[in-house]
Amino acid sequence: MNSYPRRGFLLQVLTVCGTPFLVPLTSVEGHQKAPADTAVTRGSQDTQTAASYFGVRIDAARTIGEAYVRHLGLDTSAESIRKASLSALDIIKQASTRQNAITALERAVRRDFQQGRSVQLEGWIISRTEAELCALTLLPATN
Amino acid sequence: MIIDARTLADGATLEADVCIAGAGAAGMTIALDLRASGLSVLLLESGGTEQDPGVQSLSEGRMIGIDTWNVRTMRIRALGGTTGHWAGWCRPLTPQDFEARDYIPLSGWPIKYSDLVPFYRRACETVQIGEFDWSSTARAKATGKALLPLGDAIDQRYYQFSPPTRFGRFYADTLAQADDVRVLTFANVGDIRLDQRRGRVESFACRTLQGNAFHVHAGRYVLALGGIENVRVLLASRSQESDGVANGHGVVGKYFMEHPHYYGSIGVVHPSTVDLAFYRRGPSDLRRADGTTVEMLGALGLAAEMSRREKLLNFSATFQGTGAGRAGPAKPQSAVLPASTAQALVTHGDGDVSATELTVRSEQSPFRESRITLAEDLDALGMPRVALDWRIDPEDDVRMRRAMVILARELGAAGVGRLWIPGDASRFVWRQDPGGHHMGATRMGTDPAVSVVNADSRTHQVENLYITGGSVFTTGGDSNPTLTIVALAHRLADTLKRGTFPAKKSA
Repeated sequence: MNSYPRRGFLLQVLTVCGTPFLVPLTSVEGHQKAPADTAVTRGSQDTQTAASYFGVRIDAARTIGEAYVRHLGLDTSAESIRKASLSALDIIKQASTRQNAITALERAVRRDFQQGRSVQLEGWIISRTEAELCALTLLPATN
Repeated sequence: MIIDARTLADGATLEADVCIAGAGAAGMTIALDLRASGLSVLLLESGGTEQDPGVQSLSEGRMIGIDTWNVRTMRIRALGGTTGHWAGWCRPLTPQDFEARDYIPLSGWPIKYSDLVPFYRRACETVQIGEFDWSSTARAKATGKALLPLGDAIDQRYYQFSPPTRFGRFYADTLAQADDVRVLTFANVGDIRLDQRRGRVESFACRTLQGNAFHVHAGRYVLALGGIENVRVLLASRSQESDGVANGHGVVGKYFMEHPHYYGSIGVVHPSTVDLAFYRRGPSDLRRADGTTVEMLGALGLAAEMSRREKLLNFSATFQGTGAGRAGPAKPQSAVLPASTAQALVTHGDGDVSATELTVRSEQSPFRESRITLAEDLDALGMPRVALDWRIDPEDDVRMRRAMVILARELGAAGVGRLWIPGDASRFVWRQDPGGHHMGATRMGTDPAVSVVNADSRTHQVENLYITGGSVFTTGGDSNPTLTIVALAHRLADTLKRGTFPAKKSA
């Protein structure tokens, strides 16, 4: 029998959640060509690419990023965040454009799931690359 | 014919070739099949044609394990039994469910899936669903409802819905008109009397709530009282055996299983463009015998190969929504699912997301500590009430967490969405609720040390005593049990037809 009076009916709030959060970040508008590979612009580019991947208020991804860094037992210094995000950084570095980077990241996310590289953070079961990208959003956009 | 047992003379004796205790889905199915077989049948029912509070109070009992539905209300004592409030969900067990799995102790039925298929086909007719065709691909093609683009690790499956068939209303007239079937209402089995060597049932000692007692003598006896009452009557029959009948190894009542249901704690977030029509309850291409349309509902589980490889239990996940179940009060977790994160992960901000709840129905592994015992308090007939101590092997929880992670990965790999479960890798915050499916406490097997009935549903110890219903399930899979209960009843009816019937009264 499957009619059960005590069952919870969860998450309905999300069925109407879309539009209010479709707010593009001004920092990720447009698809710029990758800037020169200096330490300063590199950090900015990594962060902006990560933010561009999520395309919404950056605090949403940051919450996951903070959880991921904690999950790894690291602090939130730039060095630790980069250490926690090596795979995602590598993908971003190898891409010639931000759009290419995002496409490559999307492939990496699916590959993560296919190969069992997932992590559970704040209730979400997400791919390792997604977690790393979330962590990268913790870096300041201008490093 | 239908006879009110309250009209019988006190001390009366009735005789039949086959006596079936319990006129629910199982008992009525057997009685229907035995019509015109040359056998006389006596079908005993505790209640009448409608529910009666006084009769229903005989089911009162205590719950001392995981909180579950009230045992008084979850089973109906009336013609048709619990089909009186059955929701109609139908799906057979899977072939894998019948197999021994080395990682699940005591798994492996003594019969194979293929042994039951002919009876499943008959059961489909009995419960008024479509043909025995469980191909989701065929359903998707015929209905134009697309399956999710998931990989081979996922088994896409579906339920058919019975109208639902209320056996009491639908089949009572047929039985009433049968010359060789007598349905005795308001008749309660109080004691199973054995012969001197304790190897055969000599009679059922019965009573009504009005106080008249009578005996039934038969060649063969069938307990079809439901997953709890089968146990209760066996354990309470202590006039000759201190531990009850067919309980020489102390197995009766042990290994009680439910289908743990995970309601309200597993969310799936997906792009709004994902088509879930196949997973919403709606019309199928299947037709009943009367030409009406059978409703269906798609679900997700793990493919047998993946399940074996990862040493997991079977489960089915349905998307909550219109028709997929009754909505209840929202749980506090609903407030904490961050919508912006959902959109960030699933659509990267470039499209709307939707979220729904997954209801997961799981198998549980046979667990000796999960059991039905007799309490000290008595019902109005002087029979001890039951104490239901439903428990789940802690390892099952670990397995379910692994299974949900695999499901999440498959959804993610296919780009369908993300799973959200409160908690973290070490502990999901969820609750296991019951499905009202009572299984396993007189389990089927070949070893009398860990089972009560053999492959023919006959008790190991008492040669003319059979048990049927959910209580004989060796393992329960995740499918709602009614279709399998009816299939097993058809199979037992054929067994009874084939058997020889010695003198009704034992020496």
